[in-house]
Amino acid sequence: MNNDQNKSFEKKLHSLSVDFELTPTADSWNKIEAQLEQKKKRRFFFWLFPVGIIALMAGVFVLNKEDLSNNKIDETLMLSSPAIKGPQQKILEGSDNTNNKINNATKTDTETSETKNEKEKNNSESEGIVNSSQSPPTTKKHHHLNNHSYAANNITLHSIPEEANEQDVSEALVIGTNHDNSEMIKIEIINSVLENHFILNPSTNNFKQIEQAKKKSHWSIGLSYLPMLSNRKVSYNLQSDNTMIIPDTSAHRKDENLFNNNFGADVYYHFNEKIYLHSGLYVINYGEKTFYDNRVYNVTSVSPTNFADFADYIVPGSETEFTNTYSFIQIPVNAGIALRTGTKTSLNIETGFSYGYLTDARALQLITLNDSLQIKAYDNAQLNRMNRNHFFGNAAISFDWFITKQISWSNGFNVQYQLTDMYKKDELQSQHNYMFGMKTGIKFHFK
Amino acid sequence: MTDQSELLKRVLAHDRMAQKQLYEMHASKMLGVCYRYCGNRDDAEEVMQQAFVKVFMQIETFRNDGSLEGWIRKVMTNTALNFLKQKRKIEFDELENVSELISVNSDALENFDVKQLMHYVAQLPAGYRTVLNLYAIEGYSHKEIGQMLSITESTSRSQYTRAKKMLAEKIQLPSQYVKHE
Repeated sequence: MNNDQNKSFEKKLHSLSVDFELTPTADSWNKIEAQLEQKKKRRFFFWLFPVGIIALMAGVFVLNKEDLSNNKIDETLMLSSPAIKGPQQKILEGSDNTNNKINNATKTDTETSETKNEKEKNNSESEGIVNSSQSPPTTKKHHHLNNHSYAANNITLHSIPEEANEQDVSEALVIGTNHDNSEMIKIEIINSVLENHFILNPSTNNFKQIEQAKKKSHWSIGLSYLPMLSNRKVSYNLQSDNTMIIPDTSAHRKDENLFNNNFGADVYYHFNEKIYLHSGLYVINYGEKTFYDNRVYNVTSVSPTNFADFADYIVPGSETEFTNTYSFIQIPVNAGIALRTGTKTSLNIETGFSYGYLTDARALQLITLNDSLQIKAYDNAQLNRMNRNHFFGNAAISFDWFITKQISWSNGFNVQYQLTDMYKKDELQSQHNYMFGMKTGIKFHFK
Repeated sequence: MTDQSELLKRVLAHDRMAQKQLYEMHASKMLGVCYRYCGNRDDAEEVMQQAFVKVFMQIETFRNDGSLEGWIRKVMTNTALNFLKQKRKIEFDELENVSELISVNSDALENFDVKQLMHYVAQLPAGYRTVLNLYAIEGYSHKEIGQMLSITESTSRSQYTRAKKMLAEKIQLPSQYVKHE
């Protein structure tokens, strides 16, 4: 009787309450619409990021190509150079070297020039100064300034940036003439990191640094070691079977972040001294140590797994400890900027994304299905139940120390972010994964 | 039915007008659902808005083999539960083994004003209110409620018993306590 009364009360309570309605405020829809717009923008920017990187890289590539074909800098400098009476320069071992990229050139008597150069060389060795008042050269020539004492004594080296010294001065290139037919000399200052170009103004003996006319591209390769700490935040969306039960797994599971060892082989393409592309092949691992509380979990739905000792991990009624691991082969596509910080160091900042292919998994997953807490095990036997293709956002900052001109040691920090669904069948699970780590490696530059 | 299918298709295509149409069809009822869980209008509106955003963002996960309204209602319920958990509004009293169950006269609810009833439900402590809603109105079992709220099945039962008792007192129903072994 009492039970009947209870049921009757519940029935009436249900019938009265279930269709209870309240009118929303007038701006309620506007707020929903605003949130939808915001989410749409976020999605847009999420995709804009990798697309932007690709566009940036393509732009840099195209611009670089154009710069190589149009050597406009030399021309501009020639036109804007002050009129000078005659160059005072030390020219040693002058040789013909026609440079088709330099415009407005006129021909000169190379033989005469070489003869005179030879004489000047002898003079300079004794006097350290040359007055080349002969007819102006009208062809492009390389003049190797291999007499360092001359450079030190007669060219005002104090006007060269401090990081360059006389030993760095390797060659001078006649890049054209002023309107009075005097030569303009471009000096390359070679050092360990960058190849800077300077204009020598013979009337003042001052150097003026110019943007490098020829952007010298080069490749480099490297090896990296990245110990990284991963921090995964898993959020559950609506279940695909519409049971709509969102499990509060955090109440049962505690995670402990782990450092994972990662390795990679790098390939760099340097468009010039500043801009480069970075790719390669990495083996990336992440995961965490998990502790499940001492509930009794339903393990009947565990898929067949290769864990030989799986039963040991799930002990009904006791705390379960397990280390989840996921491994990827990763291909980064990063665009970077190298900023020179000293004669032998440069600061590299790069960003981009990585494609990751899931190669190995070993994980326990706590889920709620309708009426019970269940633990599912995933390993390589269930890779087909998981999403294999993943994308990561990358950012890195590193210092390169050039041991020699060709070899540098790189150290820095690396950050990766991943937003993904790891499992494709059982539930819609969004995973935010943050990885922070150090990076050390060695690079070989093919300059 | 055809209209609903057509509307669903447009909502799936993220057609803003269709979304608004769907919202207008269900908003009042869903605000009622959220109010039952939240106990106040401001929170209820916030939860309803969050839930509708989820509905529109994840409408692809709706399988067209059940009622759309039922699906939206479940989204509302889950969003409300998550909201209450995040705001730490649900607290479950550590009740001793509750051995008393209430037996109430259902006639008292005849012709009872639903707004007044909802007002009383809203006044219940959040834990009681949540379990009452899930069990008596949504029809979940205590086992399911235990899983959803991370409490034991017996805690769910005792919360429900207390909720019902408190509600009965509020609506001044003649109540009768029966001891169970």
